This record gives sequence, C-alpha cells and structure tokens, in this order.
Amino acid sequence: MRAYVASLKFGYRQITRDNMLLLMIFGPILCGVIFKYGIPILEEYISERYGLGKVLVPYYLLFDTLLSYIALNLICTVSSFIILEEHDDDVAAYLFVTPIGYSGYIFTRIITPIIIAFFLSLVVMLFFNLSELSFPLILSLIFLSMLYSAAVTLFTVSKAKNKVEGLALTKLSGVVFVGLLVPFFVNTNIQFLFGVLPSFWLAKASVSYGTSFFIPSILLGAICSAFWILIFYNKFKNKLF
Amino acid sequence: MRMLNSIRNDMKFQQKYGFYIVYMIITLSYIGILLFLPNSIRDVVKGIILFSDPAALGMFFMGAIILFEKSERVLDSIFVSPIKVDEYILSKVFSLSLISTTVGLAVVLATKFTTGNLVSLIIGLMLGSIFFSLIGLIVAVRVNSLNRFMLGIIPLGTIISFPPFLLFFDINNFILEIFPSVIIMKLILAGVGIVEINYVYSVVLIGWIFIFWLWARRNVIKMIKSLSGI
Repeated sequence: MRAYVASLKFGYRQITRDNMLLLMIFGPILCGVIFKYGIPILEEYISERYGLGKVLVPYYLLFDTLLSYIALNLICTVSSFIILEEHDDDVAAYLFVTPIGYSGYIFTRIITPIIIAFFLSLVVMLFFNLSELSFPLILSLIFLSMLYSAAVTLFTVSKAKNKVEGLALTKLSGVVFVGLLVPFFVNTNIQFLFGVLPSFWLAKASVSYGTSFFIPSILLGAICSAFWILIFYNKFKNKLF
Repeated sequence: MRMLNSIRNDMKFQQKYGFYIVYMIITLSYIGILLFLPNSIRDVVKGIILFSDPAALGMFFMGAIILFEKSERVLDSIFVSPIKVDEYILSKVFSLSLISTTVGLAVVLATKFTTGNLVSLIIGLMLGSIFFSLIGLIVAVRVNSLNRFMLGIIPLGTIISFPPFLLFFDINNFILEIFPSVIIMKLILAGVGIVEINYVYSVVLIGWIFIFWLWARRNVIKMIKSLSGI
C-alpha cells in the first residue's frame, strides 16, 4: 500500500511540476462552458444569419456525448504522456522492480487518473449538458467513456516506442472518434460495421436512451472496450518485460 | 547537398516514427467524412479541416521531435556537425510542410476539386505549415517534457487559431486581415473555392514567417548554448 501511495505521489508531483493539474481541471470546465453557452449562441446566429431553422439543436445530444468523454480523454492523454516520458527516461523499468509491479503501475498511472476524471466528468456533465440529460444517462455515458479512455491510453502506450510515436498515435486515436458520429448520421444497419469502435457504442447508448436497445448498447460498449483493454494491456506488458 | 541530406534525414525520421502511416489513415478518414457530408457544407468543413489539421500538424509534431532529439542527445551530434541553425530549422519545417501539403491536396482532390484555386491551396498549406511548425519549435526548445509542451502550445495555439473563425461570422477588419492565421485560412478557403484571395496577403504572411523564424532561431541558439553549458 505504501508503495502505491509513493508511486501516486510521484505521478502527482510530475503533474503539478508541469502545471498540468490546471489544464486537467480547467480544460474540461472551459469546454463545458463553451458547449453550454457558446453553442446556443452559435445556433441563434446561424438561424438569424441564414434564415434556417434549428441547425445545431438536433445535435445537442451529440455535443453532450462528446462532453462526457472530454475530461477523461484529457486526463488520460496526460497519463499516457507521463508513461511515455517514464519509459523514455527508463524510470518505468525501475518502478517495476519495486513492490508496485506491473499491475500497480497500471493502477497508479491509468486507473487512478480515470477514477479522478470520473468525478470531474460528473461535475462537468451535471452543470454543462445541453439536453438536460437524466442522471442515469449521464452515469452510463461516463461509465462507457471511462472504459473507452482506458482502451485509448493502453493503445497509445503499448504501441508507441517513444514520445514521438506516442504523439502520432494520440493523433491516430482521434480517428476512432468517427464512431461517435455514426449513430447520429447513419440510420441503416450499416452503422454496426463501426461496432468495433468503443466510441460507436458511446454514441449508440446516447441515441438509444429510452428504448429497449439502451441496456444492450451499454453492455456491448463495455464488452467492446474490455476487449481492446485486454489486448493492449497484454501488449503493453509484453513490451515492458 | 548538406541541406538535401538534412531534409532527407528528417523525412526518414518521420517515416520511422510512423508519421506517414498515421497521416495516411487520417487522410482516408477525412476523405470518408467529407464524402459523407452534403455538398452545401462540404467545402466549408473541408476548409476548416485543412486549416486545423494538415496546416497545423507541425505545431504539435515539432514538440515531439525536438523533445525526442533532446532526450536522445541527438542535438549534441547535430550541432557539432557543419549544419547551420537556419539549415536545421529549414529542414524540419520544410519536411513537415511536405506532409501538410500532400495530405491537404489528397483530401481536396479526392473530394471533388471544382472551382477552387489550387495555387492558393498549395501556398496556404505550405506557408501555413511552416508558420505553425515555427510556433511549435519556439515552444519546444524551451521545455523539457511533453506535458509542459502541451501546456504551452494549447493556449498559444488556441489564441492563434481562433481569429480565422471570426470570418465565418462576417467579422473582418484590417487587423484581422493581416493576422497570420487569418491569411492562412483565407488562402485555404480560396483553395476550396469559397473566397477570392488577394495574393498581397501571402507577402504579409511571408513577413510573419520571417519574424517567427528569427524568434525560433534565437531560441534554438539559446538551446544549443544551454546544451553545451555556455
């Protein structure tokens, strides 16, 4: 336990040393404020300027789904950069021979940040969601976002040999984001081709809320992310040992 | 010759660390998304995508490249070689601008290039990439960790990238017209056929690049001095 606390303190020091804590806390809040107040202003402007009806309102749920993922994404990106720096500096190798071990390292560098991000996401979603989402839907979205973020973080750190590749892969993982758009824009069953992407199930759960497909969407989303987590967890382990 | 070798080495580095594969996948994704969009908004979205990614990619990748060179002590070797500071900067920004221009052109040509101005597009992507890469370089040489780089580049990048979006709200004035990122956006929008471009602004952009080049140069020299303990 003491080793875990020491490792957490070490990680915390790295974050505070770089003032990253400010970005991690205020970044998602700033996004929430922009979404909550900026998007309706933009909507009003587009309606007046171009004489169109509601252009963005039908996609408020999409913005909310995106918001549920932002805090987790930001904190997990910071975590993956810390892991990559530790790997580049060979610090990680020393941590594994301490009582923390591999699972302890994953716990302090990925799981703990995700748990912290959960609470931050909850605050951001409760205060800044646009569609007046119900509490169960908010919790479900954050739950799926947590698993999705863990999968993305493990993907980056398991595949990247150094921070340059890490940044390239962080960029690439943004492509997975496409899945978030699919349930909102594709109505046919072709959409399920994107079912391999955790982001697809996050959006699918959003649009299915109130229907019989809501619970299956969450379960399938959790299974999809768990599948990727398992693959990249083992890949990262193989890479390190 | 030395310059060409330097560019070739930077391109090899980018290939080795997966930049080309990553951008191939990203390009295909952009093309897929754009083809899926209705014609009425496709060109506007295309312009925004080209401005915010291919044109600005160097801003982020420059950070990773410089930090990696610092941590692997590549810089010590580079600066004891005959290569000059300007050649070092030129090699980096030019090789990154080649990716930007190729990606941008691929996206535009694959999603029906109709009435846009191809010359304007190439100038916008090329100069835009050089400008943003210089910003990345200016920040990267001053920091020692990727997170610290992000902390510097995100606010700076946001401040620089925000003004062009005012164009979509018909907000325009002289200061905006000579603002570097606004010029880059206009060149790209002219490239996809949304606005007409006055090439005089390209000259203004080159002036901005010159100023940022001098700034980057000063920072790189400081970095070399700190590496050699002077």
